[in-house]
Amino acid sequence: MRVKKKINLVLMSCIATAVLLAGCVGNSTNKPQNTSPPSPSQGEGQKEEIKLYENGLPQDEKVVLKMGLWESGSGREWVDTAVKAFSEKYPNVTFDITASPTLSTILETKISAGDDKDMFDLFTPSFSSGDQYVRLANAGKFEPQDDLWDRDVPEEAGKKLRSVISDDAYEATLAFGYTTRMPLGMYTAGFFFNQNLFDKYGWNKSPGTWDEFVQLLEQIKGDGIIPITFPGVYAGYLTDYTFNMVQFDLAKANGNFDQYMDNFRNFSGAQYTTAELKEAWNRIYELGKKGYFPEGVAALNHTQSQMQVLQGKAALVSTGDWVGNEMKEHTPADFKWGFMAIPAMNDAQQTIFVNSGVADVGFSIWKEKPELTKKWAKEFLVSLYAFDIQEKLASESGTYPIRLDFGQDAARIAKLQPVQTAVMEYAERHNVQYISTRRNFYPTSPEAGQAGKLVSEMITAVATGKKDPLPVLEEAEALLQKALEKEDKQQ
Amino acid sequence: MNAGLNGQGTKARYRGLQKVSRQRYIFLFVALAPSLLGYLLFTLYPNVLSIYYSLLDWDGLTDAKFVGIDNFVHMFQDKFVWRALYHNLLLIVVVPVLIVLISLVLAYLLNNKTYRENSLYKVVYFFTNVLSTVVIALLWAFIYDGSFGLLNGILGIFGLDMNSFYWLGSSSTALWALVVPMVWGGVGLYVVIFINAISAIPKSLYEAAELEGARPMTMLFRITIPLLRSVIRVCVVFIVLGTIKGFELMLVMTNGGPEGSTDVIGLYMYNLAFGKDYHNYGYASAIGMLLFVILVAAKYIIDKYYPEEKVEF
Repeated sequence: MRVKKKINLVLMSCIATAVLLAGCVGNSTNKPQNTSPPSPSQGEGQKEEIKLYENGLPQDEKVVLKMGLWESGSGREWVDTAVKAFSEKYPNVTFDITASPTLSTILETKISAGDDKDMFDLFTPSFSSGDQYVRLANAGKFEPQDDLWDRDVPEEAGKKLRSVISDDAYEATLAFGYTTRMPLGMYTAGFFFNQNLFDKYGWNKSPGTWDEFVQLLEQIKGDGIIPITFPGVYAGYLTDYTFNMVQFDLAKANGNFDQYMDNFRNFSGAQYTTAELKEAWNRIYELGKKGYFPEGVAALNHTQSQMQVLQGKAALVSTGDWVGNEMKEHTPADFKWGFMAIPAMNDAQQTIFVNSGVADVGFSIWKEKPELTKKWAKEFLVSLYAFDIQEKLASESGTYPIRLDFGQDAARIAKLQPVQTAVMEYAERHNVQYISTRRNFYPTSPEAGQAGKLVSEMITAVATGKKDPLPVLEEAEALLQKALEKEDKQQ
Repeated sequence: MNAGLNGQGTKARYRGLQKVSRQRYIFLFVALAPSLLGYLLFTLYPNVLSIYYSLLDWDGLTDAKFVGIDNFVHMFQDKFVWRALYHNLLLIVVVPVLIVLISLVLAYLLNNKTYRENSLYKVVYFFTNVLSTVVIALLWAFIYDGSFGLLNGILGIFGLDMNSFYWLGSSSTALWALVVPMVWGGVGLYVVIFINAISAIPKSLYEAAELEGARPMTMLFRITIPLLRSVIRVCVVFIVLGTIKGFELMLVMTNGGPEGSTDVIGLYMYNLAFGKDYHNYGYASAIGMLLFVILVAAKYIIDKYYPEEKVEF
């Protein structure tokens, strides 16, 4: 009896160990596949029996689309609506959605793991930094979506998708030589403010020149309010979204914009020490010396800086147009969103560049996926161009829809959230050009990281007038050039 | 005949002993295998792999380039590494001392003073240990807030107008401001450890000392602390190693700012691997190797200058 008991005990322990080991080894082998890839070897006779939808895809093959959704300030309601409509139309297609505000951590882990089966079929390309997306795009990891440009817009036969997209957006999607994501919406960034506060103090809500802009800041400070705030913990909100635009304004005014932009996108020539960028930094420094940024700005996080504007402690916050949706629970009833960008020149007719993710709202499809899965994922993307989904994108997620013809109907325009309306109003008053600050590649050597760190660390010090930016820019430039040299040698 | 019987008996006993020994090994194997395997898979394997990663120029997603010892060469020339280590050094000098001292005092008081609320105090002190680092970080970020922060409010009550000073917004105060939540969050666990260690010291030692006229402070320094030496030593090891590799508070409260004044080596490594601006897993792994060497060195130094003393009572 005792021996039997012991044997049982040992056996049970072995089984427990085996189960544990099996758990550790992974679940990919035992898990049923989420999709049924089309079988090219299916007999000709069988083909006749397959019922097809109008899009040519089989009705009987069940497909589960694994979606990774970045649940940002824009929420997920618009996606839920789209998914519901799509699954009702195509009942064989269902969705397995993983939505997270920190999708990048899931996404990057899955990609690093290198298990294509486990990877999302389609996903918001939300990475911890923009350079990750560029690298993956250049490495051809995304399914090209170029074939969708010739597809008809949902419920509007004959109207091609390409025809409802601006040239800017189209070019931006082709930045890596192929369409990595069909653009669904765009965001803009700049200074956001409370129009009612501006009205109360009689401040200029739409300065058209640099002098007017500086005069506005002086007035605001004179009235005892912080002119400009930003999250110092992530200080790039000030440079990336507003002051870095000044270099493009200046290049445009100097007549060398195209060359400047080409150098910028491809890391050709000087990057941190161009006359235009030095001037942009110098302006932050000069404004900092005048005390136009909060003294303890380095301690402010994203929410704290935006709250300063909602509470009327600061006049302008440098952020993106998601601020409206993100802060809607805390926005007072008497608050009316306004928008402005920096007019770098003293010419009222100047081009004012506004930071924009022209084609940044959309889904990418992972290339190493079964063909049928990818086809259904593309069908889903096309369905997102329907007006009711674009309207939802505008009204619920606070995103500016990508369709050009969206603005042809006043009823649809009325569905835009106040922040997007404010951006649109600003663009009507000024000669605005939207610009994306994407690069075509990113150097990876440690010197490049060090250069970026040098620059990002000085932002709060420059903005409080404590540090002259020029020596730091020189040092960063030397490091970056060294990194680029290394990059050339390796290639 | 007897010899034969004896021989058989010995053989049977030998076989029996062999069986017991085999069973013991099986039991040991079954008991140890899961945790050993877990350790090999999830601790040792990734760490060994990091050595390989440290020789790469790799963003973590696309193809890696082998760069030999370039990352290590660059690391020793990287001023951010030395700056971060300097901040770590400052923290190592201050944080363990404060945590151990405060924990000892609190533990001594809770053991020797018969307050009615003793058990409540124990819970209260331990409570900080239950809170996640993120909660502690957010709590203290609000305390240090310039406009609405509790600290400026309290100082205001005493007539000190801080003029909306942001404690985490100045490079001269930010690092020291972080020491407070580090100590506050760390004390709870060590109070509990010291309370238990103190209560294990035989009362007879104190009674004998009392009979000989020893004062409480004499008993503290001549009996309690010497007998706690080995416990304190273990605690110091934990706190020092934790202070060297910890960075969660900095990540949430300052992200290394302002102007890098709160950047520590763990945070620098983390941001290189997972940060918002730049990614290089290879370089981050090289820094991870350096961190590993520093941790081993710290343990060695503690062992050398604070040797373990076994006390029996």
